[in-house]
Amino acid sequence: MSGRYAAAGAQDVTTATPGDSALTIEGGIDQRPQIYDFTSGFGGTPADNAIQTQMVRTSAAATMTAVVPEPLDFDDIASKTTTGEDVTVEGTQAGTPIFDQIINQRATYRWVAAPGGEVMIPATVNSGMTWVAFHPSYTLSHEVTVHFVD
Amino acid sequence: MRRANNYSTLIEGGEVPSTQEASGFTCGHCQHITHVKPFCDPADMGGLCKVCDSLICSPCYGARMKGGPCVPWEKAMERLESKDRFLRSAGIIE
Repeated sequence: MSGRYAAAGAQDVTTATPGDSALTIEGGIDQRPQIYDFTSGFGGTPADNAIQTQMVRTSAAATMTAVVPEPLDFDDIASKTTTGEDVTVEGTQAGTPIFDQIINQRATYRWVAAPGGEVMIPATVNSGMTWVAFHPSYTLSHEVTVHFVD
Repeated sequence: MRRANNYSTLIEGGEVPSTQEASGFTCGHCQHITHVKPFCDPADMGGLCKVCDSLICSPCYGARMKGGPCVPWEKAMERLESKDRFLRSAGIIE
């Protein structure tokens, strides 16, 4: 029986394009993680910067700081999905972004899927999803929280 | 919108806080998240794939109109996964 998990990550220093990812989720040969909720926001002193925020598939592993997904039901087993934050070496991005919007730094964006509308990650090692934001002059944090079904 | 399968909110701070909400759908072919604003031109939001009967995004709709195949995301995933299993069984990747 699949379980629901939450993972939160941050990129402390947002850079210019192509940017460094705040959170990356990587699947495995045993499961297809299904993303049904994510929230994206920015730290630092509020200002009116228009920051491009993307959610992109990846096809190779990233170098990142490990994050342990938190089960939303305490009785669930540990998640088998690899998650990490503060990516230093990006995984290979595959295809066009799943989500691509210009979002004001002051704004918090949340996306929720109805059953049947989840974004699915293939059951292959290193296939994953990453959240990245970039701006030519904004250099503070980008923070993402994701809920997924393992 | 009908057949919406996701919902978004954009909460903006500042002197006059505001909240924008939008329904949308994930493309049946590539899973791109498309927001649909009320009363928007249907041509701007994509289209319906008449083979798999799912809403698809504008680029995928354009590809279908040019004669491209219908490849639902589930099918695309199965292809990726079978290729991965083959390469793994052949010892080409670990």
